[in-house]
Amino acid sequence: MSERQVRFSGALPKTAKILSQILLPSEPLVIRDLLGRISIALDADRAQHADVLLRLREEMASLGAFAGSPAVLCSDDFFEPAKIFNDPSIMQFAVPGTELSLSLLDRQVTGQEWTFTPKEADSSALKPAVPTLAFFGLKGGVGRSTALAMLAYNLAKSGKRVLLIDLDLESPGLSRLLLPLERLADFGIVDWLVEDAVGQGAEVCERMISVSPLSDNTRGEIRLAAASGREDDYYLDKLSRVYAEVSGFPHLSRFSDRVRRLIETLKVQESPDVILIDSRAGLHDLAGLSIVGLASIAFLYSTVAAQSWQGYRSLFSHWQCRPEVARYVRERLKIVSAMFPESDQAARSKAFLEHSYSLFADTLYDDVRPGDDGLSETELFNFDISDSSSPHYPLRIRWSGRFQEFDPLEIPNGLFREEEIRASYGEFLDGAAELIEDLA
Amino acid sequence: MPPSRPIDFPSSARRHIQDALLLEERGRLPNAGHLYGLAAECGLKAILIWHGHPTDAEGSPQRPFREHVDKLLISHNMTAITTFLTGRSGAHYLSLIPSISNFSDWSASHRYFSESSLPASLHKWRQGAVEIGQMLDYALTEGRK
Repeated sequence: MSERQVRFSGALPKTAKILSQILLPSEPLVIRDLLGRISIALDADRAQHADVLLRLREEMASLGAFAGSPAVLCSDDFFEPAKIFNDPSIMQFAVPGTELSLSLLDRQVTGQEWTFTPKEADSSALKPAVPTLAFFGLKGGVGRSTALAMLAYNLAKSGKRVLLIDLDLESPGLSRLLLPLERLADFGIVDWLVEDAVGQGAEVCERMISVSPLSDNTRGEIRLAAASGREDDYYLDKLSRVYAEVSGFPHLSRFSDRVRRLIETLKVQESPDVILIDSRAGLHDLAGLSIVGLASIAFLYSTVAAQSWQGYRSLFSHWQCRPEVARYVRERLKIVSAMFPESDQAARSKAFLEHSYSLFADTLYDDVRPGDDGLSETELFNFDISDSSSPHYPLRIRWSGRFQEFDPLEIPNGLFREEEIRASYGEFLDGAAELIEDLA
Repeated sequence: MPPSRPIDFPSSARRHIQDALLLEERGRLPNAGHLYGLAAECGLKAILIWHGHPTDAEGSPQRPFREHVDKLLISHNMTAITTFLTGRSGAHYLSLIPSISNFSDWSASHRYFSESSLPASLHKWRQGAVEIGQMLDYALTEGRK
């Protein structure tokens, strides 16, 4: 009996197969509810197509516990069917390993951010865009924030005004790294989120930016929107409310819409040349928002020790099933080889490159088939394994005992020689600078 | 599966809004307004029940929410509903019906009133009821019914 039970993973492929075998009166919309149960919605008259609807209902029953109830919905089940059938979050879902695809309205509890690309209208309104670099790792503790601080310092030295945004709300640390306590602003991002929800965001915005002493003697400036402010009593009480959707006119605001609005406001207020976002680690909504919703470049941190490759594969496969998102996001990714060890470098470097290449080639790069040679190569998104401009080719940060548990605020005091910094971070800093140039 | 109960708030809400729209279209305004209010009541009660508020045998919510929409809003206030609801889901459904407070001047007793004594609030009530309908559509796609 248990062998015949349909599991979550099997339900959508089975639905695609059923839909490919029945001629339906209208384009089917597949709705997957919060528990993963699947219904088919048809923009059709129930009475006129009773036979085919009955057959569809019988077929859908084979999904067992993952069949929606009802498994077939018609226009008249809804108050405003047009709104459902034209929901902007509907996307094409390509069933892996098959030629089948379907229109999917996927209702999730969390995780929508991984597929929520900025709308064209939004991105054109933002022009000229401020280069926005997100720092992400599947696991913490790989030196992400330190590298971010190094890049901020380097950019400030070259005269850039850099705005840092700490979106690692559940594990904030950027302000501790870059600010003595007395320089911390009154408020943080979490304060803005709770105050804005009751209409008091504007004043908070003006009092949430700290200036890091790291940029004191540079031509530029490092300005920081920290997660919490000096008045950070009740941090958890605030944090536990920030993900709520908030009623607004004319539409409700999702968490991601609100963060985007905050960043747009800060862009006007701060006029940054570059924005660096410290994303939360792991497969969390905040990371999805940072990478897919906000970044012009997302640095994906990984170590030679490969535990994270499986995690990246899960994430990339999620995008692969949603071709529109995959096409958008793959142009913004850059792998970073973090904590590159001092020993056995040639072999480890090769292993890292191979892991990274096969990850991208299997999921996000276009297939180059034998017959495709005549096809314009510019239309295909594909790279040679040794192409250093490709998303899979890593920027390397070399591990050094000198930079473990170190305090970036000591850099201006001359405790670290330029050569030491370059030896560890040179490749990353140059690569990042080049990517920023390309965006400008 | 709980035993089937006669009360089905989502479908009743949808039916009341559709009938109210029809009445309004035909110029039967006082009863249109009356039905918008009943529709909103059904929508709010649907949300409460999805989130575990206990019901009687027929499926109607128990105290303190055995009320029409105006009482749901005033005597216990929306704060009563927001206090009962917790978690992302409750906040999510309430965020979809921002105009629900439009019903604060609606009354079940209006059905006994002369037409000239009714508040001129029909368009506000329609807005509130339409949001209820849209919220219920959204909930249906999330597997709530």
